[in-house]
Amino acid sequence: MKEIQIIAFFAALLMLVCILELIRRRKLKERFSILWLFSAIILIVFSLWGKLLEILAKLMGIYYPPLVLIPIIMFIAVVLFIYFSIIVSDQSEKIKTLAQKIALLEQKIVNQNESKNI
Amino acid sequence: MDQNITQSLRVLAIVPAYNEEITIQSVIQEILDKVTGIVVCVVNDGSNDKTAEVAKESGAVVISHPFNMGIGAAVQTGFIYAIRNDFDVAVQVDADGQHDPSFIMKMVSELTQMNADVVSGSRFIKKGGYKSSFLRRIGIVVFEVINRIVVGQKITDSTSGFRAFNKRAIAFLADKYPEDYPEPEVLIILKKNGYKVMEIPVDMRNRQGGQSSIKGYKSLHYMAKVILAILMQSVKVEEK
Repeated sequence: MKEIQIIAFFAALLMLVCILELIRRRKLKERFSILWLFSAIILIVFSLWGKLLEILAKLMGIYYPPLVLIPIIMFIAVVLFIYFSIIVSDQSEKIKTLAQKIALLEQKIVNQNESKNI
Repeated sequence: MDQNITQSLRVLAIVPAYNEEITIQSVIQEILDKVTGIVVCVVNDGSNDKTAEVAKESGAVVISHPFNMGIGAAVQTGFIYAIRNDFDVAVQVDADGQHDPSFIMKMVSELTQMNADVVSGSRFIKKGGYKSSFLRRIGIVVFEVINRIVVGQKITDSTSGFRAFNKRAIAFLADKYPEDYPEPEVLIILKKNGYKVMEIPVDMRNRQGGQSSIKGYKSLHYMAKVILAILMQSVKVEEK
């Protein structure tokens, strides 16, 4: 094993442990962590199986195998960003509905109180 | 002819308002004066000024959003209120005094007589009622062409915020309402779902207070964004 592989392995392992620990401490909900866990596992696979990079490099026509990591990491990052944008959109829709319901309820309560006072 | 039918309808004026304390009172007053039996519902979209208080004193039903969510959400809240309180017609009116309430009854009777689901007040059907710059007129023509393609019907003033909706349209829009550029998008989703859209000529006045949120080079940017929103809206999948 090359030194760089060992460093990469421990870095990826650290990421995996951090994610698991965040879930355990309830700082991170499971359903938001699936993609992160998946990314960490992919990185671990790459660090352990050095040949994989060379195989992919050949397939993609890249001369210098470590450069294969760049498109892979970019792909993971883009997927994560889109995933979180979807979550944000969903939540903003829910917040809007909640705020509208509160506003309508408040108007109803104020209205009822006023008619009682008359 | 249909004076009686029109008179017996329960009509709600929905006035979305964000920091309109200067004009809101005269707008409410004028609507109440010109349209007998109408209920005015001001949706205060998280204003920082006294819009809610002034509107309440002027005799409107006031619904206040806890924070600013944009005009789309405000109008939608008005529709939900209309549905829950069993109104037959909802008329959207701007809070800045641009819209002349004398047209409200005209729009409502058009709605019933022509059996339409939406009647939209247009500044551009009649020539000369509305003064605008050269650039603006180009923008208007571009919008007309796009609407022709996307909506499949001639819409002269797709950004008009002066509109009357019947019960069927209210129920539909209370459930889902476009957020980003609601005025043109509303017509598209209504047409797409088989609702009948009509336009009648109205005069609009210069604003009494506040200012247009769109001016100068920003208008080009605005147009590009609205066109994108319109095109996206026309291909969106219906959620069930």
